[in-house]
Amino acid sequence: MLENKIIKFQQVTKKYTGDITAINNLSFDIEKGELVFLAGHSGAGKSTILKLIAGTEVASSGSVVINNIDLGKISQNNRTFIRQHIGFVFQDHKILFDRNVFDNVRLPLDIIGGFTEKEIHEKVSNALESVGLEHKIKSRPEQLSGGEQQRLCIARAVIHKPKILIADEPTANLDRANALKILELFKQFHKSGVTIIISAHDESILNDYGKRIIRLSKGQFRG
Amino acid sequence: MDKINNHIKSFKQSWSYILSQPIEHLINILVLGLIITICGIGLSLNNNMDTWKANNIVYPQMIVYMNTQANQADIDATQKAINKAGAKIVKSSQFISKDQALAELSQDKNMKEISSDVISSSDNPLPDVIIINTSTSESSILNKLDMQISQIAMVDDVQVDMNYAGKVDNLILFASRLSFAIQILFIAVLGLVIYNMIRLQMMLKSDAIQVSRLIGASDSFIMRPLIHYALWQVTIATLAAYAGLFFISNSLNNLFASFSNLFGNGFKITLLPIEQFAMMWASIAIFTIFTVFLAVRWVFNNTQAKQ
Repeated sequence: MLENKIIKFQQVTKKYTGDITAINNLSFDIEKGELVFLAGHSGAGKSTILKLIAGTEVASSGSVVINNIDLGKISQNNRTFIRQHIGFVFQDHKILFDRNVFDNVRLPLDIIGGFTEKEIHEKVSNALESVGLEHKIKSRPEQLSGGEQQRLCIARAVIHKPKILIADEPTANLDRANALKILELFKQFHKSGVTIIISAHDESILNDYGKRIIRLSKGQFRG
Repeated sequence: MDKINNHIKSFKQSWSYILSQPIEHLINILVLGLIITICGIGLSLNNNMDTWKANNIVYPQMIVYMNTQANQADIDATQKAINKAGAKIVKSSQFISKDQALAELSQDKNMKEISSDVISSSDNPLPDVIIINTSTSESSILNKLDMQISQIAMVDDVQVDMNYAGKVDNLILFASRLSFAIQILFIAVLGLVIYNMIRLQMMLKSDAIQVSRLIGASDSFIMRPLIHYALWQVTIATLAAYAGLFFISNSLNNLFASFSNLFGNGFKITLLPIEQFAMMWASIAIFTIFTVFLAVRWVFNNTQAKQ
């Protein structure tokens, strides 16, 4: 049964400096291949949960287990290594404006290493094709619209076929039409078996998907 | 193989970045080159010190005055005692007989009038003299030699300017220490310049570093391009410094040649040997890698603390 749970939160509390409690005694599991939404207003603890999964933050108490590895019990270097198996989509895209679309998308492959230039070209083309940006491969990021930048960020997140894809408010800066397109992309990736966790503050956009929604308020479950 | 590929990639990235902004990097390289040149001058100074001491009159002369009654056997005994001191103390010695001294005195137009009494004397009053060119400036050793020669029969007097020897000794010691201090100081400055160069690069590339770390880049992945960036600039700067040292030593040697009467023959600056120069580059390269490592760790720790 345990093997099927790719993410396990066990009585997790995260406190920041100044005794600010971001999440309080939360326990939940996410199964392999599941698509889960984290919903709640700003300060509800959505981003903190994503940071704990990513290992960029460590729980103050309780345990966060990813693929049977307790992140609190491993070194910073090993947590960094685990992040190579996770895809990240950021609210502010975090696109690098000092390089073109191709070089932005190839970054995870450079970090993981072991790919030839031919393989990298092929993978970048496929990733861009999956988000509908294959014609923008040589463009500069500043030439892309907000929706395209977010799709570029998704292409970068999925290029190395991660087991887990986490997206922090990926639709926050987009209009409804673009937001739906982005969510549709996530749905497609979900079909290929990737575990996806998406945080969003606009619940109305999530209800139509019929997927599990973890609702949060002030660091605790709501509803 | 992966590591080699990563290094090749970092190498290409560094060079394309340096060449894409040549003016900015030229300034960096000039500053680094200047600092390395100063360190190189310090090293050359130390290297040349012994040569200068050996080739020039920086060691005091000792003059041994024989008794006017001294015969050839006494002179031979004195010479034997002088030679016994060894090459580390006595570089050479020259015997000037009383007859030779009188002949030279009578030929010297300036001295002829002053020493007319001596020249016209039927009994040559001048003593036989042995001039010793020493090869040390250590006063304790010279004092010992002075004592030994003074005790030889028929040696009337031994004159040596011990004050001069002490001054030369102290001057050389001071120059060595000064050059060492300058080298240490400028190595510290070199460290600070490299550190600041990397800190600025990390600030300029903070977005790329932040994103790379978020998606799983190891410290070495981030550090590798920075190491290449610093290392190649330092390498160019070291080569420029060598060219600078070559130019400086050549110019100074030409200058010294014009004033050979003042400095003495053989006063010549020799350039650092290529092996020593390669060692200097290797040391600076290791120092650069270490400094980059420290700078990256410091920036990472500071960013983590602020998060």
